[in-house]
Amino acid sequence: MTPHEKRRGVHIVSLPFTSLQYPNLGASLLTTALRGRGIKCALDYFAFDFATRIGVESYLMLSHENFYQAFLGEWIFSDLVFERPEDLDMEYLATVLPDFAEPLEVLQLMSLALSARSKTRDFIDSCAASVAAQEPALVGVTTSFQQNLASVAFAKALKLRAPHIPIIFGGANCEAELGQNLLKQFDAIDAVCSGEGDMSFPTFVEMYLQTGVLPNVAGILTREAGATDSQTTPGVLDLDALPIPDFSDFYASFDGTPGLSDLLQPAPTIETSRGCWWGAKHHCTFCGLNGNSMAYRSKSPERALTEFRHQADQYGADFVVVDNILDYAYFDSLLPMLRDDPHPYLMHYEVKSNLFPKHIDAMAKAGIRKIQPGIETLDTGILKLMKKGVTALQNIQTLKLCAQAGIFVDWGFIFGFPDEDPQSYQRMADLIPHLHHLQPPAAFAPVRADRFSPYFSRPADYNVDLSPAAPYRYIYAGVGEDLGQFSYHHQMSGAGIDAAHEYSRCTRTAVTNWIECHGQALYYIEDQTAQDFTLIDHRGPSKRRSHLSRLESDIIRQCSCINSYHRVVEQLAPDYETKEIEAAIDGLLEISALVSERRTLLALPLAGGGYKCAPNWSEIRARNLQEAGQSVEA
Amino acid sequence: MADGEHKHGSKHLSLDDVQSIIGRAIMDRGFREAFVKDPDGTLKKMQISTTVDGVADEKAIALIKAIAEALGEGNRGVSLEEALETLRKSYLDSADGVIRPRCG
Ligand code: SF4
Repeated sequence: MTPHEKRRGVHIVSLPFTSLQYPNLGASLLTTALRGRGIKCALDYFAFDFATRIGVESYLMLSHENFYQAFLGEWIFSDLVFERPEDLDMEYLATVLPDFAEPLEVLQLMSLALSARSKTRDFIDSCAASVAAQEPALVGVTTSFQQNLASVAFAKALKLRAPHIPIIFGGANCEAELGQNLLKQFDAIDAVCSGEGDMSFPTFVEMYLQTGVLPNVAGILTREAGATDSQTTPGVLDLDALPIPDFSDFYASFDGTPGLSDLLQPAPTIETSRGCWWGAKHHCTFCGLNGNSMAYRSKSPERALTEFRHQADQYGADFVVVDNILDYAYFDSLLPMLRDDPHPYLMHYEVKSNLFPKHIDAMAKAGIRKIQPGIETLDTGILKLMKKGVTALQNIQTLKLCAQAGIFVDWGFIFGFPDEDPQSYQRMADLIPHLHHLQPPAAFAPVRADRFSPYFSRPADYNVDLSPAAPYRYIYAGVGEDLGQFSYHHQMSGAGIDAAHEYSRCTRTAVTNWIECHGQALYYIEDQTAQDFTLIDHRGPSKRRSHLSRLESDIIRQCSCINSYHRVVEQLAPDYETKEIEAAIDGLLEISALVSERRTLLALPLAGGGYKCAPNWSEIRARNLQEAGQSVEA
Repeated sequence: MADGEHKHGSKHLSLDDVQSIIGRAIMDRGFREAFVKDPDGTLKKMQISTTVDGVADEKAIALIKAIAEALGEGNRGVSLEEALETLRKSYLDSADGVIRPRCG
């Protein structure tokens, strides 16, 4: 490489809207890899600057995940890229936004969004000016989720100031045809890194710095190589070979943002695996995560532990794990290592919902106190349609076991699956009041056909028609028939789901009640050491205290996890008459101490762990810190 | 005549107007109540119009209606300022800073 180019180095930028709490893992990995090759590389988190301009609280509200589907973050920047008449924006505010928020929220979001929008032009100009002033040899722009429009606006502004600096886009918004489309639509973009850039991007940069010409590297699209030339990126096979990412740029930005530390506690991100082992065999029908790289790869437990320790020493032991699914082998390897490590780990993992007590126990001890098990619904027929590979009873068991163990379950209820049985919603509405002591879903939302999902790739197989989600028309205004090339989320129609909002209303109401009463609705065994149990039942308005017989108590013990009706009878048969057992089971079903599905049973009251209902996240955090403090003292 | 200005002196509703209407409605109870009761009359007093060359601008009218309805919600029980403050706090409590679609 020429000394001149090497000195100028590379500048990677991350624009709004992205998290202010967690570092961008992909950009940090690439920055670290370039620095490892001796290439000067700066990483700018411009989202912090924007948050300072519009107010940190305003930024957090506008980017809250509750309104993610309204795409406010994209809308705020979109008029810098696609000019349009104001009445289209009025239509968005009046007809689209209210679908994603309550009336008062809409009002507040409108006000914040309009105010933020008035500051975007100056902000983007200042970002471009600051990068151009440093004269980098090349600029990388990372774009995932709601960063696309600010990123394109930035590329345009930078090109005006410094047309000689090549701009390369990368990140989840550049996967496959999305990346090809960005290159085709925007002249300001010179290249796109599509898919995993860990190998291709540093090679591309190195070759460019040596020659001054954009090289032809597999996985990087350039105009020279042809925007539609879909070269696939070689995915990383050996994740152990990746560097441990340097997050110093993120923490410098965080620390430099006034008032932020009063609102958020930053946490390092970590990935222990890529892809999805379940999806590689049975792709969940709605899932577009992983793009074209579903093949599952994980780090060795030793390598993963080294990274946990290294980052915990620098930034603290609260982690955000970005994996799509926990490696099952970790239950016997990494998790015990984390348990035995002196750092008081606290983290979130995505898992599959077929968990047993030994799994839950291993997670809790390892510091995995928040999980996202993809529960989605409480009907086995619908779970089958989406190829989830679990039953409704397994989902309820996961909610119960996690409540007992003090693990927060992060989940959303989704409805409107092609060919689902509308009657199932009445059944779920009847079931939900019995689950009020468990963790409710965060939201109740229609299923989407995300790009790369089976629904998107093969709509005819499901008899559905697709159209880009409503906000896209207002964000990518004026692109006409090309709209479908920008969209990631799609709505479906046909296959009996057009009336889904109507027929699922009963479940929506039940979910709303569940959310409202969570925290006050208790259901637990008063003293688990007693031979005859007393159940304290505050799930509904009438507070009940039920004293169980020895037989009933034994049934509850036998059904602490899912058990078959037949086995329960068999196990208790030496001591009781079959008829007696059957009558007792009926009685327990009657008072909803048990739930049943296809001749299997599960007891609902919480036992053990000291929780009377599913604890909320702040309770779990506080208890974890307290326990960590105690173990340090010990 | 400036862009969007009408012959009789009123100007067509702009996004800036929308922002100031919401801002004023949050701060000023009297204005809010008047706006919820009679959005058109209040706009007229502000010399803001929702017509273009005498033809109703449906999109502007829909937006004004949506704002009036939302403000009406806020007037039930607690004050709008309090309701918005509670809302703001609950977001900050629940925000974990993650911007991601759920796995499902
Ligand atoms: S929804 Fe989760 S489990 Fe299913 S394919 Fe996607 S990542 Fe895998």
